[in-house]
Amino acid sequence: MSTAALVQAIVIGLAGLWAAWFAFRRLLPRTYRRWLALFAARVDQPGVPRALRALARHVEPRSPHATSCGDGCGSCGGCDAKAGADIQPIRLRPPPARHGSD
Amino acid sequence: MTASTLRIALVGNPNCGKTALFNRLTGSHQKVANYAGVTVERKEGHFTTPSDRLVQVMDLPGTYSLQAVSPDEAITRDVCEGRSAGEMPPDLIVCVVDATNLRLHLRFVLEVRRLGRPMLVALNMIDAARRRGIRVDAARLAERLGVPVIETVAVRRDGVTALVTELDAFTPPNTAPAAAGAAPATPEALHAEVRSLLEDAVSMPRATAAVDDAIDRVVLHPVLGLVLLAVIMFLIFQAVFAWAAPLQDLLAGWVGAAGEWVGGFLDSMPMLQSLVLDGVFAGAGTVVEFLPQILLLFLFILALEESGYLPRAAFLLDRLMHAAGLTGRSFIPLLSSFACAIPGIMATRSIADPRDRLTTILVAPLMTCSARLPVYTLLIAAFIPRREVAGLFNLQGLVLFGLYFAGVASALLVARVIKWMRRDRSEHSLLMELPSYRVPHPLDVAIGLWDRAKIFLQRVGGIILALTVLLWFLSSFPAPPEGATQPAIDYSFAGRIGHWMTFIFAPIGFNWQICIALIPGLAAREVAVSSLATVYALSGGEEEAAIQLGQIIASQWSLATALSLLAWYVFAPQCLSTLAVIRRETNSWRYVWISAGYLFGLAYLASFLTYQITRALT
Repeated sequence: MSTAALVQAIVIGLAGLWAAWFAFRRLLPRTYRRWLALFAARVDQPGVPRALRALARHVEPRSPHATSCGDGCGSCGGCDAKAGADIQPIRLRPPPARHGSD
Repeated sequence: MTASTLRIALVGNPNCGKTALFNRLTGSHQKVANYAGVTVERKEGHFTTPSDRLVQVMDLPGTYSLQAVSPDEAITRDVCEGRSAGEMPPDLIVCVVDATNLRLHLRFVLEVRRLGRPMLVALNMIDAARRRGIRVDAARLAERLGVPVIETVAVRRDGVTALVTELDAFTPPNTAPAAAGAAPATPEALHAEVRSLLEDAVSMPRATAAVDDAIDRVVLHPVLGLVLLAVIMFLIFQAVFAWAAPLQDLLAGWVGAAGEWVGGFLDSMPMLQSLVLDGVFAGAGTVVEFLPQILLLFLFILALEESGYLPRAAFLLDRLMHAAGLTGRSFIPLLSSFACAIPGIMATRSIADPRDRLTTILVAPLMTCSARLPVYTLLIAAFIPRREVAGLFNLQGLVLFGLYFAGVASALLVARVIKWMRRDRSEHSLLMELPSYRVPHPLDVAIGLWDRAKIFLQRVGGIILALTVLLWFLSSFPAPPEGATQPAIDYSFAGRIGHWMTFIFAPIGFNWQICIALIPGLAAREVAVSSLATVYALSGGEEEAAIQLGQIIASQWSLATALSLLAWYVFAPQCLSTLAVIRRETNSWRYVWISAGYLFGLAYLASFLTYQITRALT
């Protein structure tokens, strides 16, 4: 394999990995955080090299990032339905029963 | 948190300048506008005073009373009363009042004062009050209220100096609040106390500004007002097309030149060259070209927001909204949805009735969000000739106006159907504050546009680029078999998926390239444009790749297909983020499925009718 072909393969591979990681993080944020937490829990163990443990602690999700959507979807934190501090879900009550002869 | 850290909450009536004050204190860029109901969730920030004291600031949704009637007001009530779960009450409540409208705003001050918590009053917009001849004796008012009263002008750089000095000197008391939980005063008692305060500390030549009254005589006229509203909307869409075209052409030239320049370095690496040219430049680069349209649209939206016209428009349309099963309260959330459905759906928190709120959430995605603008612009520019109608109007602008109008009309129709289907027949009158008119400040508008440009470019450089790169992979692999006769993309994953999908979408005129673009378009609608550009760049030879997407589709699609796709995007099932926000705000997957299902059904039906009728006529 020539140097140009090797460079090409590496750059294309990295671009693909970045795109997949970005889309996954953005579109499935809860799964992404769960996987990160799982990874951190598995790796941050005694006997694991210090650098790996440091990496695990670094990537471990601390708290859901706020999804303050500001005034455009570009500032939205993604598709995380659970994140956000002031969730005010709708609570519908059944309408009162109708009385009368009609 | 150090001992001297101070936690303050900004509270007050809607549209009194809380968020402007928050931005001024903390250096944030939260959205502000001249109408009630912009802030529907709690925002937090902090700043350091000159004596190095850290002040944590909470910006809370506006409320007219602590007797909350809507979800956003409940947030403010809970924080003020110290009932917010897992959170200490603020050390100091900063009650922001509009100095030009003290008759209304002092009522809330009196309510907060009854809580017995440490508070001060920020007498905001004092400059506007002085211009109208309103004189406020702040010292006398402070004496009567028993709390400090500080004059502020949140929109001026030096307008909060006195407030910061006061915060710096404030010491939270050690004792518990004296009157927390006290029974609320009767409205009559509050009104009487406000009247007494006004007589004692305020001199006001007249209740409203003379210029506001004069403008309102035209703007709120039942006939003239509606005509004016239609003209304004019409002009906006004319301008979006007519003014943006030269800038768009300029950007397209730059993107094309940059692509050629970068591609020139990659001749020895054909795959990477294809990724850069067909994926990054032809795909994501094509979306960048629509920046001028987006910015022009937001220029008008920001100017209207700042001017105070929008609540008037809500008032004018209340009867129409009511006939459709909505209330005037739905107007602001629906209008916000023209930028993006997500803040629009969140803005429904200001609607007190849960059924009205649900209806507004379900129809909000029918408002044409700015992400659809690139799709519309691409198709209109490719298929609708750029010519004048009646020597005055731009035909392309007319079509764009028609598409936006179709979105609004279908939202009203769907709302009407929901109203008819639901058993609840409750009706709610519109009670909305009309703010004073304000000339939009050029700097504020410029900052707003800059923020929009950043958001758009971040989307292009983020999710749009990522999905375009993924699509390039799916469109490039696997490689075609030996002796393949079709273009390579036909044998790729994306090509196969696209061909399978034509089974469903052929009746509405979509070819396999469009079918491919529909899938990533669910993540962000602009991606449909970048996907089409990438797919066509990979489908054609080098010459075709150099031609702009608009010219390619103009030569390869029928008019029926183009109109069908336009009809599809009027109703298009919304993006995934919108569905996620519907899930969050309704706390139910049921409404997510209902929303996605009815939008898909409407989109398919509209495209089918458009395609078949156009084919029959042409």
